[in-house]
Formats: sequence, structure tokens, C-alpha cells
Amino acid sequence: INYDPALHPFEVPREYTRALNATKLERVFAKPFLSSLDGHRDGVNCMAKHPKSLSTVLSGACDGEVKIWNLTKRQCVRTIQAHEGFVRGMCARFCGTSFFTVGDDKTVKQWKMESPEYGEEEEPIHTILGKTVYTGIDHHWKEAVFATCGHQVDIWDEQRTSPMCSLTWGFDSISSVKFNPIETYLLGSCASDRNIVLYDMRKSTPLKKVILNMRTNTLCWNPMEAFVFTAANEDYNLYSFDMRFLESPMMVHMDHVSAVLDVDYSPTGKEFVSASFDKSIRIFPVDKGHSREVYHTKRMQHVITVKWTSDNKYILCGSDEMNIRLWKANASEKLGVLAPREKAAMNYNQKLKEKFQYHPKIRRIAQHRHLPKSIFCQIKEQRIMREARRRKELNRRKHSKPGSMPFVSERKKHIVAVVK
Amino acid sequence: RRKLAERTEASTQVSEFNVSCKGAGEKLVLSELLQPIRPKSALSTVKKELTKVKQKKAVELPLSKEEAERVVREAAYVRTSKDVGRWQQVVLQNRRAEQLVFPLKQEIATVVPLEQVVSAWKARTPLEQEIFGLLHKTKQPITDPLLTPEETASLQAMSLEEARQRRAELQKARVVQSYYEAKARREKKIKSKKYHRVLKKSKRRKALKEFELLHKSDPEAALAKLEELEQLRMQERMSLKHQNKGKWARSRAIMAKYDLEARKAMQEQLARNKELTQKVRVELPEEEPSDVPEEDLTSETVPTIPVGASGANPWMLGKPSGPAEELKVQEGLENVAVPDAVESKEEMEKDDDEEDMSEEEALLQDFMQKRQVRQQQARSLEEQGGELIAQESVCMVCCRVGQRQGGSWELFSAQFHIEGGIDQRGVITEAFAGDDVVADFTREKRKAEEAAKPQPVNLVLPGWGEWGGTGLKPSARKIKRFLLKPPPAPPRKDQHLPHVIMSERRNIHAAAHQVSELPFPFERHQQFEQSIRTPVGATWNTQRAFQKLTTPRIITRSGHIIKPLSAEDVPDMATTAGTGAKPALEIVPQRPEPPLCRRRRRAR
Repeated sequence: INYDPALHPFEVPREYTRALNATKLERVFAKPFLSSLDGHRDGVNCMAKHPKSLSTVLSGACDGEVKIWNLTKRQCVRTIQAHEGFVRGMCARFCGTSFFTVGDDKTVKQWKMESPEYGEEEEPIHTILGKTVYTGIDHHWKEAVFATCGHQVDIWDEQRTSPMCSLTWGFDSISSVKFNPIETYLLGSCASDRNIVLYDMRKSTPLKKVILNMRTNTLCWNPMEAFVFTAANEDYNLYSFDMRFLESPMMVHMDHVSAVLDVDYSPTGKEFVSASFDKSIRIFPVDKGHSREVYHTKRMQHVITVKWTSDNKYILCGSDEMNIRLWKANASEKLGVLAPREKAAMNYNQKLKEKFQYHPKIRRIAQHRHLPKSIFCQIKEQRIMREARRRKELNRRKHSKPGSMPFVSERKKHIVAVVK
Repeated sequence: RRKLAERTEASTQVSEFNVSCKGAGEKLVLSELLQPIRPKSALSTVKKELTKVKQKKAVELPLSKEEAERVVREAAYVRTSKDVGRWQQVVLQNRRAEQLVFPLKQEIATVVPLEQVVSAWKARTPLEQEIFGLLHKTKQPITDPLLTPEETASLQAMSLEEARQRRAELQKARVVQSYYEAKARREKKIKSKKYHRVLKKSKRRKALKEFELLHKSDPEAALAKLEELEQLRMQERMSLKHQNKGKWARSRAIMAKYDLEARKAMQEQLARNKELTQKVRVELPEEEPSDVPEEDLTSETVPTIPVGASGANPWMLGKPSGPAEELKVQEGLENVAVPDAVESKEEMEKDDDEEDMSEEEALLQDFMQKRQVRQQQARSLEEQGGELIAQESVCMVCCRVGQRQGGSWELFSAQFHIEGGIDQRGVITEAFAGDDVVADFTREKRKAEEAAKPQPVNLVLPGWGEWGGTGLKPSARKIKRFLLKPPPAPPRKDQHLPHVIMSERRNIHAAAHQVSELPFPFERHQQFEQSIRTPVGATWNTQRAFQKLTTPRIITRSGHIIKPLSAEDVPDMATTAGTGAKPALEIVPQRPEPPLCRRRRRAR
């Protein structure tokens, strides 16, 4: 091929047209829904990933049932009646040989990951009876330690039946607890007192508390950035915090139209997925304030729990209509082995889309998503409300003494206090 | 007896019955409490101790539980923040990296030697144990010696690198093999008759050449080849194959009366038979001089098919021509080129040297001569017919206006040929006498410039501070104040091009596709425009450059679990934590301004 530029004129218009076509084709091939795992007899309350196997996922339902699924066959492999009442939380041990569940019957149970052999009954390895209801559980990433939360945050050794230490700060019930995957002695918890508390396991002390406007439902630590965590809040937003600077979140992610119930990070640490009470899940980049993708189905009702698989390709979401749905993380990605030419073409298209992403026609096509009517109308309504509030603030500022109304950054608006 | 009811009385006196302060903020003093204790009472020792204690300084109140906890928390928080801050560099690097490859630690799958796997296995179920018991009893080997001692020695000798190389070689060999297999499969499928005829001929020629070479180098092998031919001959004589007796030949015979091709085919078959049944004279190379038997053999083995009979190249009837004949051929060529008297003379001179030159040089010379002939002819053609063409082109140029200053037709007059008495130039000047094209153009350009200039806005209103009415004009001061002059427009692109008008009007259809304001990550217009201008595709970049430009930002391996970051993935972490030395570029934010924060423009 002769690279003489006189022979290949009009580079920019030609590449622009290719970018436009690539954007349109991306929308054409954006079919993210893969399958739905059917079998639970009550809403799915919590999910856990298998740390060593990509094709296994565990789910706990609101009737105390725990099911283990094989994603390649899309079938349930094992069913356990684990608790009476809700299965409030579950987590897998880091080695992958067992998993823990907590339920409304105030017990913590440890089960084997392998199916019981012929003739054996489905029994937990270990049961711990507690005095209060436990609402969440998470296992340490490296040691044989796990933490439960309910009345207070308890840290247990696997061999003992009473907690190693109990961490309390205030008198409120705690809804979820998560271990930091990188600095494994750190924990974060969300309480019903609208606060997020960080704990240090080595020193057995809480570290700091940040109080937000509304309650946080769950939080998730970034697996690639040790000090970053994202909190899913009731005020329709998600807040990404830097652990060292809790006065103001790193980013406020706004796009949901109802309470955000669950959040999970991609293993690359660049994006996360959030499940919301409005019947959709959204994928946000860590450094942007708005979502890049929204998944919804007519059949999917309030999404309670969401997980991003460890190979960065799929998203699992459990909703309260008893189904677990499997989606592609990249909606228009072609699964399977790609020929080298295909890969080269896809990389080229991706690069073109990035290069021309600011052009109006391309941006319009790339950001267009079909939304269900409820969400669409809610977005419009909330925009009107926000505009009204903003206008009022501007007017107040205009008609008051200059300097009497300070400008508060959007990030700081949602934080009430940071308590040392 | 009735017990006396006790009663408390409020009083300011401090005693063992009454502890009170005079007012808020006043403290109790120990001496007041000790006053009522008289010496020599049971409490005297206590009093002594208490007086001793009084001299000592007061100890600070221990913190309340909450405060104590808070202090612990703060200290722990500071410490933990510092620990966590070790990852700052790594995180920044990952955020800024152009490409991230996951999983971070790529494990190279090592092949576990089979012996290890086998030895690690133990008999578990009763059946297995039974069998092993039997084997043990009869002293049979449990594990097959998978590798003989030589093989183990060779394995140990081969390092990983060598193993890799060997594997690469094997792979290459496999690839080559598969390529040749595919090629053979393709060729097997070819049914075209012409192809097969050509192939046979070429094979025969190759065989002959090989045989000659073989004869020169390895006479025994040549003998073996001859024996093969002998075999063929025997077979031919024994069988009745190529004798126009089979089904095909009989069918062809019917057609032969009318069809020339059929006749030829039958004759070819017979000729083949004759060729195969020719006797091969085997002569040992030692007995006779080499020249003669070679020629004999070649003449014997090469099928001296009377070429004319098969209708092939009649030029090959005679022997290949020597240098003298080539010379004659060249001379013939020369005679064709007529006006080259000089060149032919040159060639006549060359003729004398012809015999000394080799064949190649002769061919080269021939080629050069032919080229010269061609060039001569071209030149002569040009001179004759070129004038007409040139004239026409010049006329066209004149008709397109604006090439020269006005009234310069005379410049062309020298180049014009007057043909047939018609003065073309004159006709044209007459026709366009009234047209001053260049002046028209400049006028048009000036008009366009004036139209494109931004117009001053006229906000003048009569009245408003002065008299207004019919026939009255607003004052000069008012006009000066209310005639808003716009800022001067940027220079036009066609300023320095006097013969060009470039329209500066905005193209609405193109504007719909263009970016109207500078997007966020860019700070200057030039940066953004440059980023758009550089092409990314394979038409404008070499393959390597294209690959580098379009590398994806995140690469993952399908089927591999991506684990969270750990200290082992970043070997630098251990050093920075251990030494405590600050890295070269410390980007830890002192003030809580996290690196992802967008700078907000403060409204004044």
C-alpha cells in the first residue's frame, strides 16, 4: 500500500463516517441479556461469587433457601434449606472450599462447597447461635476470619463460637459490612444511623465515621485502589470516597431514580455496577458522575443484589421476582474467540468512537438508551425538581448580600458531618 | 425507746455530715473535711495520710470512656491512612497507564512431569487397594517407568530455553508439513487436461536434467535410474496398453475420420508406446570417453519426437542456431528501422566483434537497438504532428480568462501559427473586445468582502433629549454614541490570493456535525483540532503504527479470574514501605483535594 497522502485524501471525513457507522453498529449489536436463572421460590436477597470457579455462583433467597448455580449449564446444581426466614447475607471463603450464611434465625452457618455425597445429608459444617439477628457477613480475603454485622460488628475466628472482638460506635443497627481486599485489616460498614464507619481489625477499633444525608444500603471496596470505596445510598446516588479524605466524596454518581440497593466493582477497578429499587441496573465509570449503561427488562422488578463476575465479562443481578439474570458487561461485545482481523477491526472501531466522541451526532447516538416509561418519566420529573431548587438558590443568592450565601460544592452538600 | 429521726440541715459548713460548696465552681478543700477529726482519735492515722497526700500535686482526671476511645480512633486513623497511602503511587500509575493487562500476574503453565503426578496418587477405594495388594504380592511394577534413563538424562540436559526452541522448531516443521499437505491436496484435485499435459512435459524435462547431473556426479545412482527405465520398458512390452486397443482408443478411432484432434490423440498414444519400448543402451563411463556416451544417452532418452509431426514449434526443426545465425537475425531487425543510417553503421562495426561476445551481451545489444529505434520514431512523429495539438491547447488556455493581464493577446501572437490564412487570434480579440474580465473579478471580490464585513448596529432614535420630528436629524454626538461599531473581523483566507474568492459563509449542513465548544479534557483549540486531524486507520498508517494506535486500554484473558491487587503484584511496594524513603515524585495530596476532583469555576 502506498502511504502517499495525496492518494488518500479526506482522512477526517472518512474516519468520521467510519466512527458514525461504528457507533450505530454498536447500538445495533447491543444485546446484553444472556439468560435468566429460574428456580428460587422467593425473592433473591443476596449473592456470593465463588473465588476459584468462574462458573459457580451462590444465591440466597427470602425463604431461607440457598442455591448454587452452574452458569455454563445455567442450572441449579444444589439447593439447601439454610435458614428459617430471610437469608440475610452470604460469603464464600477465600479458598473456595466452604461458604457462610447468616439468616433471620440468628444463626451463622458454614457449609461445604462440594455437594454432599450419596447418602449424606445436607448439613452445615458449623453452626453458631447468636443472640441477635445478623444482617450481613463478609469473610477476610486472606485469613480464617469473618465479620458479621447486626447489632454491632463482630469479628469471629472460624474455630471459635464467640466473636474475637466486637466493634461498636453508637447505638444503631448495621446493615452491611465489607472487608477491604487489598489492605485486608480494614472494614467498612453501613449503619441505619445514616453513617458509614471504617474499622481497623488489628487495633480492634473503629476509625472514622461519616454521616450522610440519607442511609447507605451497601458499600464496596475498589479491588485495584486500596483506599477507594463506593457507597450505595437511599438518596438515589452513589458516593465514591477516598478513605483518607472523608469530608468530601471523590465523586457523586447520579443517575438512578430510586434508592440504590447494591453496588459491586469490576475486577479491573475501573467501573462498578449498581442495582436500584427502580427496576434497573446501571454501570458507572469510577471517574464519571453519570452512568455509561443501563440494563432493564419488563420482567425484572426491584433489583436487590448485583455482582460483577471475576473475569470482567458478565454481570449477575438478583431481583425480588425470584430470578437471577445474567448480562454482558459490554453490551455489544462479541463473546467467544475472535479472529485476529476481527479483533483488529473492533479495536479500530473503539478507537474511532473515542476519538470522535465529542461530535454531536456521534454523542447523540452513543448515549441514547431506551428506558421504560416509569424511569423516563421519573427522570424528567426529578430534573424539573432539581431545576426548581437550583433556580430558587440562584434567586436567593441574587437578592441577598453578596457573600452571605456561600457556594457549597455538590459533593459536600450530601455530607452532614465527619466524626473522628 | 423511740429512735431519733435524723434530719439534714442545709449549711455551708463542710463537715463529715455535710458536704457542700459555697457556690458553683467552688471546689471542696481537703482541709475543711479534715477539720472535725481530732487528734488521737481512731482516724488520726487517716488524717496523717491525707495530709501527706495533700502535698502532692493533683492527678489529672482520667478521660471519659468516649474521649479515650476518640483518642485511640484518631491515632489509629492517622496510622491507617499512612499505611493505605503507600498505594498512592501504584494507583496513580494504574490510572494514568495507557494499557492495563489483566490478570496482573500471568502464570506460565508448567508441565508437571508425569512421574510426580503418578507418584502423588494413592489407592483409595477398596477395589484399588485390592489390586495394588495383588501387584505388591506378585512384585509387579506399580508404576510404569515412563522415561528411560536416557530420556531422563536428555530432559535434564535440556533447559527451558532449549525446550522452547525445540518446540518452536517442531511447530515450524508441522506448519511446513501441513502447508505441503494442503498444496498436494489442492493439486490432486486439478482435472484440467492442458495443465496435466504441461505438467507431464515439465516433469520429463526435469527428470532428464536430473539424470544428466546424476550421471556426472554419481554414476551408480545413474545406473539405478537406467534400471528403472529398463523396468518401464519391460512393462510396456509385456502389457498392451498404449497400442490403440482399449475402449478409449476404439471410441477415438470412430471420431478420427472426422476429427483432427482425435487423430492426433491416437497418434500420441502410439508415439508414447514407441518411446517407452526404446532400448536403453547402458555404457559404463570408464570404458569410453565421456562426451560420446552422454550425447548418445541424451539422444536416446530424450524422446526425439519428430516435432513437426505433432504440430509443435516448426522453428525447432533444425538445430539451435549458433552465434553466426544470431548475428544474421539481428541484421534483419536493423534493416527495419529506416532513418537510422548512422546506427546501422555502428552495428556493422559491432558485427566484427559479435563472435567474441557471449549470447547475453548480444541480446542486450539487440534490446538497446530496438529501444533506440522506437525513440527515433517517436521523435519524428512529434515533430510532424505535435504542432497541431499544441495549437489547440493554447487556444483553450486563451479562452479561460484571467491568466494574463488585460490586453496581452499580443504575447501569444508569436506562438501562433497562421494556418490557411484565418487569423484566429484576431477573431478572438474581436469577440471579447468589450470584456475586461479581470476588473470585473476584482469588483466582484470587493463586493463579497463588503458583504461579509460585520455591519455596525444602528440604535439611533430621534428625540430622547433633543428635538425630533420630520426633517430633523439626530445630532452628531448622538449618532456617535448609538452607532455601535463591531470589532474588526479576522482576516479573510483569500487576502493574499488576488485571483481567488473564498466564501466565508458558514456551511450549516457541515456545522451540524461539528463540535461547537471545546470538550473538557482539552485546554486549547489547537490540541483538540490536532487530535482530530491525525488519522488512525490502516490506510494512513503502517501496520505497526496502526496496531500501536488502536491498542485497547484494558486487556483481559477470557476464563482467567482477576484477583484484587496485592503487594506481590507491585514489588516496589515493599521497598517504599520498608525504607520509608519518599519516592522521587511525591504526589500525595497534602490538602484534601483528591486527584479526580474537577476544578470548578467559581462564579464571582
